Amino acid sequence: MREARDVEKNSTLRSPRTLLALLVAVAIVVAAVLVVLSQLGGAGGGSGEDGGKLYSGIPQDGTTLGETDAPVTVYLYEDFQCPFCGQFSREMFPRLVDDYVRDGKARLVSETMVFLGPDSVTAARAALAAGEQNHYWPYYSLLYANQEAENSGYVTDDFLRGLAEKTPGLEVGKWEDQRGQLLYEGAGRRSVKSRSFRRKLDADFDLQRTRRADEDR
Amino acid sequence: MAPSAQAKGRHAPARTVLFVLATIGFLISAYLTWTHFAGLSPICTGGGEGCETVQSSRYATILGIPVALLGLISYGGLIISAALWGEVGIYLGFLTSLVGTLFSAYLTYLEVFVIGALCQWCLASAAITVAALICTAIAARHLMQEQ
Repeated sequence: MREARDVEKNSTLRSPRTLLALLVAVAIVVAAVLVVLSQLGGAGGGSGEDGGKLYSGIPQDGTTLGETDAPVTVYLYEDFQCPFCGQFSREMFPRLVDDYVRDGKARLVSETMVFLGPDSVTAARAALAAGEQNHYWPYYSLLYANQEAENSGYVTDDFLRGLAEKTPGLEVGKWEDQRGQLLYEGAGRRSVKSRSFRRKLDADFDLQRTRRADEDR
Repeated sequence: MAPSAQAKGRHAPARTVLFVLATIGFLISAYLTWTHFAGLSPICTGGGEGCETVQSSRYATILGIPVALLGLISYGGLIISAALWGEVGIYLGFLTSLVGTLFSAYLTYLEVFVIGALCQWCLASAAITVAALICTAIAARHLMQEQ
């Protein structure tokens, strides 16, 4: 009886149609797993916990990362929308932090650039607002881990708030306030710690003012 | 099971075409894998920065493994499939090229709608994978008719 069933099972497996269906099913499952991993991969690398681990025990002051008396200072000139900056941040940067910053051999200073478009300014403001609470770097990592195509409009308020909520230790309400202040000229802008970015903001404000004036005309 | 020698003789054209396609695909993947690990940007035919943008996007790796390396492994599998070309070889080739086609469709979707840049190497690889699927599907169909 048992033997008969085994034979039957065997012949079912051997039937070309069953085999074909099985192969197609396996192919779909494998492809689906790859797609899921691909989608998770980007966001997974940017989970707040990972960010927390990378920066744990390293002093953060505004846009500076590492010991103040480190013998070497590395300045990073980056735009949050720039794909190569993103690749650097995702692949090289964690090694730089682990191998040089953690044990005080070097400190990093981020000099945020905004040359790709208005969304670069929005992203930079959000990161600098996190920097006002000395949580710039985890936010920096999250921005790059979730980077999409430049000027594709992915830098929305919801996107930035979502990253703020993922940033360990960041007070989101306070961050919103800081971000709001950075949008206008005033006290908030003066507290921006990066000198070059302050200049960029000034240029950007001038541009916005000109545009607004043009629209009013 | 049909003797593999019989299968080998029957679908010789599909086998040859698959072998040529898999070799070209293997070379393209090898080049892209090399540029990834060497930190170079791939030469984009027809100009433009599409290949750089695609290769430096966050979708260029899965769990830290470059997609180009996955392609290299798949094309290696297809070369083995064409070399064996028995029942197992043909079904292995069919499975590999079907996974490749489905995943290439996803990658092409990403290029067009998410990353917003096209990489000719990646598109060539996608076309090769679809052609390889056609070859292995023809061979698999013949094989099934024999059984």
